[in-house]
Amino acid sequence: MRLTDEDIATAGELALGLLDKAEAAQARARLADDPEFATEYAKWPDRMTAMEPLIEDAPSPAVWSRIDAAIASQPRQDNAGTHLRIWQGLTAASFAVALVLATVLWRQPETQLVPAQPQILVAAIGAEGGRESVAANYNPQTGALQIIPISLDTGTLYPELWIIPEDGVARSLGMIDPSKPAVHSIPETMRPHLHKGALFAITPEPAGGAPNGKATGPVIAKGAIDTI
Amino acid sequence: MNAQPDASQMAIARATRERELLSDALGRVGIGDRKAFEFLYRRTSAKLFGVCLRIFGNRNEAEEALQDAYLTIWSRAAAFDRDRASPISWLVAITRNRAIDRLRARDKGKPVDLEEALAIPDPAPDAEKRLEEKDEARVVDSCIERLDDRDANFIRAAFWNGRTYADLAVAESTPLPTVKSRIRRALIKLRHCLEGMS
Repeated sequence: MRLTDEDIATAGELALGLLDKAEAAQARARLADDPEFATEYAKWPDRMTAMEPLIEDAPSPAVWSRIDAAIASQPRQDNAGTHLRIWQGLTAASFAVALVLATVLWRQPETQLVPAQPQILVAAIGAEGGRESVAANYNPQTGALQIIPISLDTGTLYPELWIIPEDGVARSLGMIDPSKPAVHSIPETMRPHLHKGALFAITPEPAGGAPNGKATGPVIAKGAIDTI
Repeated sequence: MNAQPDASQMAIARATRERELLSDALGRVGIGDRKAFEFLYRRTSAKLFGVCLRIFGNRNEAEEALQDAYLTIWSRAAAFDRDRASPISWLVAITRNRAIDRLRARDKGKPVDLEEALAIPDPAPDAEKRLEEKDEARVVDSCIERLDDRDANFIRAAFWNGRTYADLAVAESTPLPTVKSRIRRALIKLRHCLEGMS
């Protein structure tokens, strides 16, 4: 699909902040499923800085201190990257392949900037004979838990993720998005429970999660944590 | 041909390497890696501070905008797609957009200073850097020359000062749809010129 001049102008207007709210929302939605449009949009900052080269300057050291303090105090929870979108089209049948790929993807960005490769933990959360399946990757060093739903349907209820270590007590890790991959930041206090052999479980719960931290629905999928 | 290719090939290799380093770092930031985030900050903050300074013109506000931009980068890094955007372009876009949001919030209700709105910014490029990028700069300059001055200035003012079609329409006493279609044509022309010559 080739971009028309109209598309090119719209991508430019979006990058320059010239669209009104409704137009901008429409154009932004297109970024997600039209790679050519997204690439065209992404080139405008380069073009603008080429038109008028920036004068680089070091900010005061206090800026980094404030940024570092801010991220330390607020763990994030947001959606995983666009290159993970490929997961969305997968079915339960390709789950095993997906898990292997998830592992490969996770390990891919090999650089010198962080010398020690963290020991990544993985889990295939599924149901025997059932269609529910979710892949999970966990980085114990950062507390980042990546959840990749491959097939997960809780009807009118919402999926809640639990961790069950050796003591058999289910502890909530929060609600998960059944429609797209996401990275969850596991709170410090919960991290010791995420280790090899501990069990992930998913139950359908009302909006907002199980009341009083006790699961009300049946376990529809489960899987033990393992090393790669 | 014999004397120069090594230098330009090295420059390309350096740029490619830098792009890969930053893409890798962003990938790691996307999974919550704070060390990678610090690396990214050390490597890009001077440039992104340049973006904020260009928009705000004073260090205090520019530093607040920069802090805001990096917190946004931290929370959105997982959405960076290395196949679609260069990392620096993506970082500049986030920084510019956050800074313009702040600028607009700050100036909300203030009457638009039309002189200032469409003033030609002083490019004052770093001479040495400009020299290094002279081929690219020459391409860009020749493309800008093909645009109407008013259009080129407005395109800059939209990106760097958050100017809107309404500002331009008022400044030129021209109906908004006329202004819009003129600028759209200018964007198309600029884009084809830049892509055609690079």
